[in-house]
Amino acid sequence: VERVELFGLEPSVGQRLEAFVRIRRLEPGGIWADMELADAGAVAIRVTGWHDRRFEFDDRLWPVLRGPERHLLSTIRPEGYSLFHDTYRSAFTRDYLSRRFLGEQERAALDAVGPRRRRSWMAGRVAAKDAVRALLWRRGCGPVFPVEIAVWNEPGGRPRVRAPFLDDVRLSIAHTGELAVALASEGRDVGIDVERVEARPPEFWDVCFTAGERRAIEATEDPIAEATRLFAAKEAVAKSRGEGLGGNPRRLEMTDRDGGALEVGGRRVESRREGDCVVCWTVA
Amino acid sequence: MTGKDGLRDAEREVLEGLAELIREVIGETWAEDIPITMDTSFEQDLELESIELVALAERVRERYGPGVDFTGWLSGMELDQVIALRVGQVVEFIAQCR
Repeated sequence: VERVELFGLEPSVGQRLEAFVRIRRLEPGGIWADMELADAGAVAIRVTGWHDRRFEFDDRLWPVLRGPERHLLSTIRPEGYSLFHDTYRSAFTRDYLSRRFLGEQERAALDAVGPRRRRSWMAGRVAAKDAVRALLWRRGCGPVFPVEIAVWNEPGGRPRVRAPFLDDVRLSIAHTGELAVALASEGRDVGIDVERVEARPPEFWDVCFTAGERRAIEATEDPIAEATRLFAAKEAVAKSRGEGLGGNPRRLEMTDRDGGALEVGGRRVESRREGDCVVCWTVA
Repeated sequence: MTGKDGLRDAEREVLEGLAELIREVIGETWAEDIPITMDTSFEQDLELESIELVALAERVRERYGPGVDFTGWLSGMELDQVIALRVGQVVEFIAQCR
């Protein structure tokens, strides 16, 4: 506050005054206002240059702030996976997210993540816990805080989860850029992947695909999108097996393709476009 | 010839070339500053994503020719070996192939 002026007699406790607030300046990081309290039209108190910080809360984050046990920060797609578009940048919001979503051990795990993966790691945890909470709610569970769900990685990278009420929840997490997705299931291994659809050199696709797969891709209307989709499908299947592609996507071959759905390594995979990305996940 | 750093000249040359390819694949400003040595881990230090490992394989093939089958070499490994992979192992592999 720059200045507070009092005019006339100090108002008494419980006295009702009229308040006038004028917003002087509004910026992404702060708000400046002048305020007047008036008694029967005569100004009693004037506050000049009142300044407050604005935080990066939006319509999605606000309900989570008010009732984290009842609201998701991610969107649940009808297909069942969670999608978290992580646009939050400020240090305050990131710290807030980690406190609402991570337990003590998980915060220690976050501290060990390198600078390159930090943001996406956190976004993946948000998507994962929201996917598990949505699964619990579909099973009729009541409010669940994100910190009631523990997510950690096996040494090989595969995520593991401990949730209240359900004994055997399996989980897969993926991210690219600002997007994180996760798929949770009871008693069945699942895999999910998200990749940006973009042109890559032909040699890149040579490394990924067999000759038969390349022919199938070339025969589609949008080969770049189809190639990316098949890559993501392979990654999703590899993850459902608790492995990665290990730098060799040709190891898992496309065994069938029927319009929207793919079959890779004998496992059925579905897909959906999310903006300039494609999401692929395993189904039963 | 073996230099002060214990590397043979051929290995040092491959290390410099491979480090350049890795920086291209990562393509972020911070990658310019991170030291890439024989001991650098792809998973722990570089935090390479799956698709980036494939992109690296493609660049290795482009630079060193089909005689260096990086992808085939990787596919012979178990998952924990891929996770533990260090730059030095790739350098030695490429140097052997040539």
